[in-house]
Amino acid sequence: MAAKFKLNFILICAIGLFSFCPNFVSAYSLHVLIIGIYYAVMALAWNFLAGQAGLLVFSQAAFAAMGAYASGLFILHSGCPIWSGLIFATAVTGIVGALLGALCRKLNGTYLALVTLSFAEIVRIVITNEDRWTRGTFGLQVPGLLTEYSKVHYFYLFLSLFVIVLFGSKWIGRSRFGFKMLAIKDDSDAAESLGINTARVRTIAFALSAMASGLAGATYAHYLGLATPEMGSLGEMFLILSMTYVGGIGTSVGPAVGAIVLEVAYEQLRDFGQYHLLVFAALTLFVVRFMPAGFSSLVGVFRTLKKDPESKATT
Amino acid sequence: MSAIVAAIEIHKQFGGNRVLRGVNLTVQKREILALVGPNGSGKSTLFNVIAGALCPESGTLLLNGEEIFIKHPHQACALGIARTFQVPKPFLHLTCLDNVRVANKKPQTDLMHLLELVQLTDKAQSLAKHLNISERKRLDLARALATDPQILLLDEPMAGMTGAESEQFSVLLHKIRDHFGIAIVWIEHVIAAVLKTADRLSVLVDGKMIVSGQPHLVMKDARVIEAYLGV
Repeated sequence: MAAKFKLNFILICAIGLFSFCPNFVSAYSLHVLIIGIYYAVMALAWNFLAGQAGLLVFSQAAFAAMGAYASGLFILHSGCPIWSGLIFATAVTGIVGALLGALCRKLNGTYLALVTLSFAEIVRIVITNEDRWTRGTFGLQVPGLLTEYSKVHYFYLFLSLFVIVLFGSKWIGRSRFGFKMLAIKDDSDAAESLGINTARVRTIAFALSAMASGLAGATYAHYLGLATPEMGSLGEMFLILSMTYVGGIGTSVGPAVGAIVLEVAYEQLRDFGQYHLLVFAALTLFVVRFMPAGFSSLVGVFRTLKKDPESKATT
Repeated sequence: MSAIVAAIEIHKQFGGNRVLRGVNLTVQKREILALVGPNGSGKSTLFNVIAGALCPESGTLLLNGEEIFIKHPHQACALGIARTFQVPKPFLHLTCLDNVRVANKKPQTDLMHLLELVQLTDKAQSLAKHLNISERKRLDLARALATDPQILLLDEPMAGMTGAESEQFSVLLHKIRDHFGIAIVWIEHVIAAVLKTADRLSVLVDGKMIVSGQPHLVMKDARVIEAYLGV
């Protein structure tokens, strides 16, 4: 118990310190950080399904694109205020996520991966080809979320979104529902035999994860002023996947750390063009092979150095 | 005594393989019923049908005299039918206490008491993946009890246990029956333990219940001897 409080305390301090960033860094670095936070939210949403419930899906980026277009199109055609677009996007992705989750309620492993992969590609292709509505590969220009463009304000906006998703997923992870997801991940048959409605738990988990992605995607599009089909591409999906694995899949904070580190690294590697993908792939392979718990295992190393090995078994 | 669960004329086939051919099984309240039979006679299939993991082609299931229709295993659990598996299936990455907690149906249940019952108190905070086979089986049992069942289905709990461990397990079964007042149906190949522990013995051969009754008498039945020894 004490360890959990300590972790939360450190987290809040870290986020507090992080929130002072706009005072010190350039506009360009701030932009990089904002995108890093967007990916952090996406990685947390993916980790919610893949890490906590053991559902390896490839539809996360597609839900972000869906959220972006849902919000953009809703605002452009209804003339409603922009924040209502965010709510609309969250609702749409939540419903579609629940439907996809219900469809996949009995699928696991490769089959689940294939269905969600196909879903992601369908979303991307529909967005690309329905250019009457979406303007295809040109991207859809959407109005900015804030009336006055200010990177600092967007930074805090994304940071609040991040805090909500981070502590939301932590809270759900420790709730009864979170334990049910862990149980399903370990043994679906046993969970079912103990009265856990696995189909319902999975559907809800899908919906929650899709909602977080949809909201993040919509906010991201309103920040850039543009929604593109690329947001839902598999390249984005694999980026989110690497971030989660590098940070530590299944941990509550690891994916977010992985996302920000890799996004900053991505910007540094920009000069090398497409070669950055090579570096990321190598890093991901290295992490998966030698430290399956990602960066979070480094924290574990520090912890074991401080405490005697006996107490490790009880944490 | 009144029947808590009754399975009437259960038929189940996998493709052309007729596994259950009109099985009748009645379980009385507070009884320990052992289910024996040669390999492939349909014992586990019958369990899966009662626990909702398999849907029978035909037949009726009664719970406390009322017909029940179970489509999913979690519904069977909600009705008070708990089961364990032949190969124990603990949630390996949860602690023993959390394993029991996730299955717990009534908030006022004392989870530590359940772990104490199966002698896992000192392992409460260790992850289930560190347990040996006997401990895993006992954890599965505690977890099934946490769902507040009326009837407990145990699939070969003594397989892989040492002699001393199965002795203890026999005592444990009686303790559970007396403490919770529930019925236990128990698939077992360790006949010595069955004779000592069970109130009643049913023998399933080729998808049919051939005989049921007092354990010592059943084992002397000519049909049972034929099924096991082929003479």
